[in-house]
Amino acid sequence: MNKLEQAIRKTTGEGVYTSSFFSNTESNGIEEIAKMETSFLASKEELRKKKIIYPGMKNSKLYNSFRELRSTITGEKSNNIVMITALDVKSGTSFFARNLASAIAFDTSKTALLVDCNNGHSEVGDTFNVSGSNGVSDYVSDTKIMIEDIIYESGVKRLRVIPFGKIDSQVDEQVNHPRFQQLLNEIKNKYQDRNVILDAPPVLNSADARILLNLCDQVVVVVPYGSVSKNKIEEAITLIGRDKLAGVVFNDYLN
Amino acid sequence: MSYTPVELVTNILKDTWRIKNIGLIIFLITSLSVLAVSWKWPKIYVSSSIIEIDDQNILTPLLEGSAIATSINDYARNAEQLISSKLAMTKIMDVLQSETLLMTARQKGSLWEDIKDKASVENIGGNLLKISYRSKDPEEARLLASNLVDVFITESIEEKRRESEGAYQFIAGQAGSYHKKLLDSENALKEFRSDNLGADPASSAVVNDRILELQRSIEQSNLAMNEAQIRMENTDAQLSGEAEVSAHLTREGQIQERISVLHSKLDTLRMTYLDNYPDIIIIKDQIASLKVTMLNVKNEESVEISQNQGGTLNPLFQELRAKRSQFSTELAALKTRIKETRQLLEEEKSRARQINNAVAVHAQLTRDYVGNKALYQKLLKQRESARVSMNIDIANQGMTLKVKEPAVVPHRPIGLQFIHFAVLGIVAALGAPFGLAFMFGAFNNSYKTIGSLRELQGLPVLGSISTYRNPLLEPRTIAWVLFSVICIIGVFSLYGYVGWLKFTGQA
Repeated sequence: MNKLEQAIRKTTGEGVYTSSFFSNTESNGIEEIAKMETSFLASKEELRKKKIIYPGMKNSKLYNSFRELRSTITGEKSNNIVMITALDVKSGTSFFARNLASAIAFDTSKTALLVDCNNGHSEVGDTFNVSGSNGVSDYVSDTKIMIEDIIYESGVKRLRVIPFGKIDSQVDEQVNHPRFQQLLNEIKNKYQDRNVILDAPPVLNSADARILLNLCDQVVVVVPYGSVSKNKIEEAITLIGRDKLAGVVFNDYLN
Repeated sequence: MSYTPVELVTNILKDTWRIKNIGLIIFLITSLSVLAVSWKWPKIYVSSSIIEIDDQNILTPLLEGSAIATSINDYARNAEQLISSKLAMTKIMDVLQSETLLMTARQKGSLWEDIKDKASVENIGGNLLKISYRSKDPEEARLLASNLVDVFITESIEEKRRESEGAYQFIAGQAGSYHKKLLDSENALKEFRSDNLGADPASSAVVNDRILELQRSIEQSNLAMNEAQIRMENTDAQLSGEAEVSAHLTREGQIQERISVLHSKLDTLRMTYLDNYPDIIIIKDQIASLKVTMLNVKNEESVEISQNQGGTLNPLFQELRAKRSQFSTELAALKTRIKETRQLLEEEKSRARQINNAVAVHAQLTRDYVGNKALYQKLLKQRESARVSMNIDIANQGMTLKVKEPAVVPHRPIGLQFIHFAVLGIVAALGAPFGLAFMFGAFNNSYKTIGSLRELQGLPVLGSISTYRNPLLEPRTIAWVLFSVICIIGVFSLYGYVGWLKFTGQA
């Protein structure tokens, strides 16, 4: 999606989008979701390019894996913040987070919001063609920016995304800001049947990740092939705590 | 963490894929290094000559046991010593005169050490000996092998000749020494025999018989002397009881009285001795004799009593005195005989001792002589054997060294060939990345399957995800694969090109 498309989305679609997404909180959730307008839908080719799963894709095994994981992780829960993290960089966290969010969005009774909190390795902006737009960091640092200004369509029905933003801060304190906590509260509680997926940095070597642990409801750890030892896993479990740990997902990838 | 064999293989393949760039570099380094080594690998040529050693010629059966043959293993050992001897060095240096002319003694020594290292001698079974020389230059290999064989043959024959001659000289010397010893012992024996005539075991037996005879004679004389002594004592006793002149007594009564006395003496003796004791026998004889006398007297007395009135000479007394005189003479004679016999016995004993000493000395001298004689005879035989061996070797009939297979210029080098390097290089280069991945996997204690992850106690495992697309279909991967294939084909082509150069002799 180019800049022109983004401009059209903001001017034409945003009104519909905003009204449908942030108005009438009293109404029925399913109806609300059904009303959720999508100005554009990504083609299969685009989804393949972005490595996003879709019904009827060739690699049905992967598609089914995500659907099963969706059921296991979110179940019947709603208004849930799931933090996707790993023990080290390049573990496939972003890939897992966007596809888990997509899998949740495939359920017509639910919506998903993918929030990129992965400072330094943010991928959401690039993947969903909103890399130059405002995001989490901009919202935190600029009080003039409203929540609705940083939520974007993904091209997948019922899936919205919030990129990390333009300000590439060198300081790991974005998520510690009261405005970030306010952001999470709002996006979590304002709508029914909303699942928030946080694309988080590695849990063992990031202060942001540790702060996010306190703000989320569930944590999923991605363990890539041949990179993680028993000691590291045990260290991570201790850090996360048994209550919040939903479980680990083995990423049997081959690059 | 436990993995099934299939998982292990899969993991190695995955690990190899993960290090594919390093793997490709390792492949290139390994294959090109081996190719470089094969390019620089020196060609070593070996030229060999086989020598047949024949020491079983026509003379052998004729001289069985007389001449001593050398075994083939000794030849192999000798050959090694010979071709590393100083003599061999001089000869080989002469052959290589063109090269060694300007060399110092130290350089020559170094060259000779090098030549010795490259030469080898091997017993290849039977009576065949193989002398080889290896060199980078095939012509040099042939030249050295051929000359070493010449040195070996010449020196072997010469060595054997020297050896046989030395053996003969030694044995001849020994034989001479024993000949002198034999003569000495012979003379000593001769002299002893002259000095001790009759001092032999036969004489010793005669002297022993004589000693026994004398001892027996002494014993008999002693018995006779005892007997005479007793008789004399009896006569003395009888005499003491008789008056020189008897009163008018009947002789019958006197004899009767005498018999009674003898009986009482007999009874006394019988208490101590048996009836065969000489005194008892003698007393019994006397009693019997007196009884006979008494009967005669009884007849005569009746007449005499009427004629002789008054005293008369006692006849019994007269008779006893005559007997005593006889016994005394007999006793004296026996004593003299015993004394003389004892003297003779002492003489004979002394003689016997002398004879025994002489016999012992004679036995010792004889033993020396016999021993020396046997050794001398043996040495004489050995000397003759050695003489024959020496003559055979002088006539060059003892051993024939035939060059069965002369040294030729080798055409093919030995050792590792290019094909070995090619196979080794390609196999090692293809295997190295997998080996590295295996090592990497062996030391990497991380989780590689969802199963291994599930082994961790208390860890909720939600599931697993795989790659979105087959990575082999990714354009970037396809490019990499293409590049790798080009690299591999390039390496194979390089191997082929070098192989062609080697095969055609251009490299």
